[in-house]
Amino acid sequence: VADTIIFTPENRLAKILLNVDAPMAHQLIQQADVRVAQLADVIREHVVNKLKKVLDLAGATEADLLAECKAIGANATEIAEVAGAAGLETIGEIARGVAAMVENQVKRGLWHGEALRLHINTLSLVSEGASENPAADAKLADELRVLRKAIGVIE
Amino acid sequence: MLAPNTRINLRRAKILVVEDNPLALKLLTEALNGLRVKSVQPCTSAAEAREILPGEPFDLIIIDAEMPEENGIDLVRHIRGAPTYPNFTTAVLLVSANTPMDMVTQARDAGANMVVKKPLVPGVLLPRIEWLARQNRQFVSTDTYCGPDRRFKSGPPPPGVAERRADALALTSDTTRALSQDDINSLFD
Repeated sequence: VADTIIFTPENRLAKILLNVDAPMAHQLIQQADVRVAQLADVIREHVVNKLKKVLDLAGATEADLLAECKAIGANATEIAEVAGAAGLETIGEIARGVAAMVENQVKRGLWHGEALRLHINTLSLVSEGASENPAADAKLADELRVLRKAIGVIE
Repeated sequence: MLAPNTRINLRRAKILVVEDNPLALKLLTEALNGLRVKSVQPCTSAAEAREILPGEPFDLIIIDAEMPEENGIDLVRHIRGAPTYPNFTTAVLLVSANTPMDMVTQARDAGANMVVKKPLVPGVLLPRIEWLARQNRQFVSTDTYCGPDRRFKSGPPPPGVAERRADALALTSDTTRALSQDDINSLFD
């Protein structure tokens, strides 16, 4: 095809591999993990604030839930983007599921209000540490993932 | 997979980060600084990135897929649609909390080198950067696609499909035959 151009560009990132006296990967990750860990309190506070906005709608009517779903999705996305970096993986995963449900509503018109409410209530339980068992919380997140798949949520 | 004892020097790497969530931006910046990247250029919107991109070459561009005004996939298309800009072929890593198949496909077809799920912690980020650094992928520019070669597998064509240059290959395999100029030209099409 005359309009097709194929070439091999310079990979400018390749220079990071050229230094034999550079630090090793595990050292770099360790140092970076320390810096990320210093943000943990800020992340947890942020997650609590965003969670409050989502949980405030747990008792909302179906119509209100639908009307507010974009805001719910935005807050859930903000939680999912950072929660795992502060050890809140399960909250991040459930929030990601909420964001996926909202995205499916917005893009495909797929609406399951009760399933969304169940996600929100589960977020409340997990964030309050009701189970006191991280494995049980993770199991809840898994079950919600199965539920989303069953009702046709694409994620 | 990145071996723990692989030596990597990110000090001289210049990385552009486009992320609308301030805390996610802070998290990513801290992770990169912790990996000893000295030059991290933060942007909080695609519009801000569009102003910077024409004037400064970066070694890596990390873009949030989900931004409220212009999303990350559109920004990737903008980068790959500007052949005279210094970042036309720069490696682009698209990041997103939610990574459904259609989004990943769109990102790939927009010209992104890789899609990574958030949150981007150092143990996730560094192996991806190292993988991109080792890549020597060809770059393809057509009317409908511009970006790194999307074909990773190197194998024979599917059953019933002829090799794309079967005629040329047959021609060159005949060592007794002198090539005409047209034959030669066809090998460079």
